[in-house]
Amino acid sequence: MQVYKTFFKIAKKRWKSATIYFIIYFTLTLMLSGNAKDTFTGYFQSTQLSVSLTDEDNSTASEALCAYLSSLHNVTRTDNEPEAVLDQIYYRTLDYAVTIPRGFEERLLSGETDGLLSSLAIPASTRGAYVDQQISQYLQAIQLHLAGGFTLAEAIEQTDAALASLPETEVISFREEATHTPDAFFYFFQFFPYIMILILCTGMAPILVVLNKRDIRERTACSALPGSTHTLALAAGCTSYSFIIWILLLLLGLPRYGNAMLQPDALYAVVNSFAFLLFSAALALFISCFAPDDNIANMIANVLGLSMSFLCGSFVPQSMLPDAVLSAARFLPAYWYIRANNMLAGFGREVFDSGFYWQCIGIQMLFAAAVFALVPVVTKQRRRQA
Amino acid sequence: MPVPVIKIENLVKRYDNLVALDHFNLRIEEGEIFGLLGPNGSGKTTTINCILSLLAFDKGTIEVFGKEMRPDSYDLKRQIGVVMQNVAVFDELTVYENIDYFCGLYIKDKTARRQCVEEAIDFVGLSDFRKFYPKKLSGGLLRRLNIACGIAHKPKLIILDEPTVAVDPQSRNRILEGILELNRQGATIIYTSHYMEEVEQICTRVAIMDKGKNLAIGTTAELKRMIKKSEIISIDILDLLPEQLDAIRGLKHVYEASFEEHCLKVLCSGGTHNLPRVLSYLQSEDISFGRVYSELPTLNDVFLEITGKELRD
Repeated sequence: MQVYKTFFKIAKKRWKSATIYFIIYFTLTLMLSGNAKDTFTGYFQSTQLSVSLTDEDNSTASEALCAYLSSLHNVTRTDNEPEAVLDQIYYRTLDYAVTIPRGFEERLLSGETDGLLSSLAIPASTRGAYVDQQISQYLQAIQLHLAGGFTLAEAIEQTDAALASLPETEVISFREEATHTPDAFFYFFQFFPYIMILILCTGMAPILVVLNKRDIRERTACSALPGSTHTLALAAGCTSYSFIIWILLLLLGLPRYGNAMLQPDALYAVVNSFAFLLFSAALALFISCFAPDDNIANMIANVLGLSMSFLCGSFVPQSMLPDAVLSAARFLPAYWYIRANNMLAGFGREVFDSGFYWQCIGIQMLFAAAVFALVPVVTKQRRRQA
Repeated sequence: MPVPVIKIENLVKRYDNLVALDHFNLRIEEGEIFGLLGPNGSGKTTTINCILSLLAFDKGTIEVFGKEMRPDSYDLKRQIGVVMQNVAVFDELTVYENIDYFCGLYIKDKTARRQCVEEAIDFVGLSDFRKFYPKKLSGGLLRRLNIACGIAHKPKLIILDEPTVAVDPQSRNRILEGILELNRQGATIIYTSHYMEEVEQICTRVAIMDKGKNLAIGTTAELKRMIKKSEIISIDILDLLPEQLDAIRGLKHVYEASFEEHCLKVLCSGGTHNLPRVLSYLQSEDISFGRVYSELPTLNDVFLEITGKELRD
């Protein structure tokens, strides 16, 4: 009891720095989750761009293409004025410029696909790629119909009809009531690895460093307190500290995310966060075995917390990370945490799979167990060296 | 025959190829202030760590209060107070909280513990500093806090491992007086130091250690009697003839005499009236003399004669 009480006495003495860390990380998490809201689902909507069109062919096919583009964008017909067009693109008053050269219809009918049009756009812009894709889609559809034996007029008619009646798409998430569920709630959990590692490693590890200082440890070993009681008291202290921080984080999330955190499906996210809590606690314990003081513990925590969060998709969505990074991230518990959270939120169009969810939880637990198992090994080694 | 507080027989402790304790034997009786004297690296702290079961040893036996000492001998550990060489306190806790923590490792009852902590604070004279954090204390006060942490639970056996290292003279005297008071209150004390003056001042018996061996053991008087040199007499003289110097060499108990830079130095072995005898001779020869010094042998002289080197080498 004496060691347990002292654990929290030391924690109390360090409450100022711990609170500062807590507020910084929590505010950061809220800000990040607020900014990232709706990044995935509901992000796409068709937009009208500013397009200039120069028709040198003046054929049925070129007219059909003009009509199609006009139905999608703000199209301005121009004569062939390349310098003026370049200026407009440079000053971003124009998104895309397309020129339909003479002989366009003839080449289209002969089945050519390359170099049918010439275009200009802001280099490497998504807007340019977007219009390119639409034109390519339209011309491919016409050529498909022509190849099927339709005349040009029929092909144009069929293509227009087909593209006008594209089916509505819907992103299906784990939750049925997707439209009523605040996504930010799951973003809050998305940044959980960072906040947990940082808070436990900068708050709890230094307490353990103090209690495990060689002189204090030896002095305690001389006393009438059994070694097992001492270890149990430290374990109880760590468990209580981690649990309090975890509960506090969840409770502080309540005012921001309201009822969403009380929904039954939120339980999966809470369980997932608990699994990662165990790993974070083990990591804090591990760092305390060899960190000589607070500063080193903070430094290690920052390096681990940030790198793991970036590599595993906490800050950058996993769907946007290169395969090589994801392959390496599989060896980190935060990756499995994020995978589980992605499934729950439907991020990256992940579909919830109960089996895989529990697999993710299990892997995190195994990581926690592995790090816990390393603690006595490192401790023994350090004591031998001392 | 009373049960000794500590009984060590044939203790051997090796660190790889280094023999830290070489068939070390020791017996400490109740009520003693027993000094372990030796240079750094002689094995004093290793002996203490073996007694406290902080270190496993290769051979031998250690008994405390008549029972074998083992890492899980918590009933024995309850009766031992330890003051380590390095100050082992929490920077994050106040003076009171630190003493309370270490006292709480032995005494669970809050009321009894509070009383013990208060008494320990008064004993080491830290009453005005009870709410201070260790970083605000001077080196001497910090050492006193270290002692208070070790003795607050009123142990029967107190082990002090170099408690006065880097301490100012005032605090040192206070600490030494405190140790004598603890002994008067009934505690048996083991005191390790490489400061021979301290050991001479407070210890009832002393063991001289070097290279993990017990070279000599006894009271300070007994140890000093073991060596040839018992007194050094120095006298300032203007001039002394060689035949007069030879005559001094021939005096009873004198085994060596020299005259250099107007100073006569006479080494005596044994005897109790060596100085009057030398002065009588000088007066009989009508030799005028100035300042006169008489030095009795120190434990350093004992160590020097036994090992051929100084204690602080």
